[in-house]
Amino acid sequence: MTLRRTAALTIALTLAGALTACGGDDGDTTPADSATTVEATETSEAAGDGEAAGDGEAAAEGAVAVDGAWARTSPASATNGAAYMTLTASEDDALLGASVDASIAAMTQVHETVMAEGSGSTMAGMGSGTGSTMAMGDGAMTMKEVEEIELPKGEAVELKPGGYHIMLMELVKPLEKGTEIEITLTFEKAGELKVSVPVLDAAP
Amino acid sequence: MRVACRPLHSRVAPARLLAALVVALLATACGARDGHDTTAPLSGAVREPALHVGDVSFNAFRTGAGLDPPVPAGRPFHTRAAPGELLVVYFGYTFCPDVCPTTLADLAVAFDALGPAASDVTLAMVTVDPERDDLDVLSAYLGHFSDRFVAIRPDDEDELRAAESAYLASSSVTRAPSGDIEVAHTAAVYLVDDAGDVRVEWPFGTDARAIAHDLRAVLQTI
Repeated sequence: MTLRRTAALTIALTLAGALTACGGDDGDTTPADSATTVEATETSEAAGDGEAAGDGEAAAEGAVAVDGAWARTSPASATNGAAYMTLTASEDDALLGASVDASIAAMTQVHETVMAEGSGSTMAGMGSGTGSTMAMGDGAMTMKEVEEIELPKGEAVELKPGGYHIMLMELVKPLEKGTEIEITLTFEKAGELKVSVPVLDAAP
Repeated sequence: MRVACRPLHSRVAPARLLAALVVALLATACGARDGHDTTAPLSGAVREPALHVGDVSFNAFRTGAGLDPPVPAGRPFHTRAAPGELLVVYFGYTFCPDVCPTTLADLAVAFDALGPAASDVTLAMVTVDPERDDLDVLSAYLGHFSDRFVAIRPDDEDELRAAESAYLASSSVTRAPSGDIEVAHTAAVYLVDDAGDVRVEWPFGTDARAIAHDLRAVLQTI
């Protein structure tokens, strides 16, 4: 009963929102919102109340749970590739690095996509927008190698498009859909962990 | 500035989350009710007045096999859609493992969602790293995402800067002492009409459904 009522409420809310937005021609409808939906949905779990999410809670002492790992298929001519995943440490830890076999890529680095220096402009003055952070106008994005990614106890830390990622450099051959690659993650406390990462066109 | 975008990745306020969900659902709702609803607001950003980019031109380019009729060779390519069509313009580079393939993959999904109307949309990518990206590499790269592409390699820095200036975009390629090459580039995608005006800009992270919605809406107006 509770479930049914919740569903009904959700539908009602959705319809109300849809009617309002469809009917009006309010230019302020946020361009960023649809853009960040996936992020928001995913991070809401992580942001929760500090409890370990999913596998992280069940993980052994000193372990790091890896969820939703995937690597993006790479175009035939691409030199570099990227892999993503969510890491949840059972105690404070840090991802120090990642590596793959030389038959996959020559070098592996942990990167973060960031706004470039002096390019922090947002949507201010545009016909729409909510002022959320995004690259607009001269807002350029770039990548930085990161020395470590902090993994606070029980907090799901996402490596995802537009944020942290494991960069596979000088790919030996294209990353093909349907295959898997093994990535070895090195953690400050949990040590090394081998992860089998499926190659997909988009996030699972 | 470097850390400016990190909070977005680590924490999203509940209100933002709800708004995001409603807007996402809204896109579905509008599409289901009327696939040609041109009154629905665009998901991307609209500038007033629109940027005019139809005079931006490049000498060196290669086109995908899916373009019919093909873009004429032998004269400069202008970033202006063919009559009655739309041109999607992106500045990027093929060594980019994260932002560019994410964006191009989302565009490819959006094009697929258009069905037959996708034949009225062409994807143009300008490499901001012409030293490493030649037209062979760039064409093969774009072919992974669409066969209706124009791969563009600026002849020189002046040509690239002039184009970026028109789009209010920027890029830089710097070589670190370590030998690493660091590239920064504006990550927005521009939708250009047959008058050479930018109708909407999609910031990095705009999802495929929102892009498809905007493409449909703008296609109805030309």
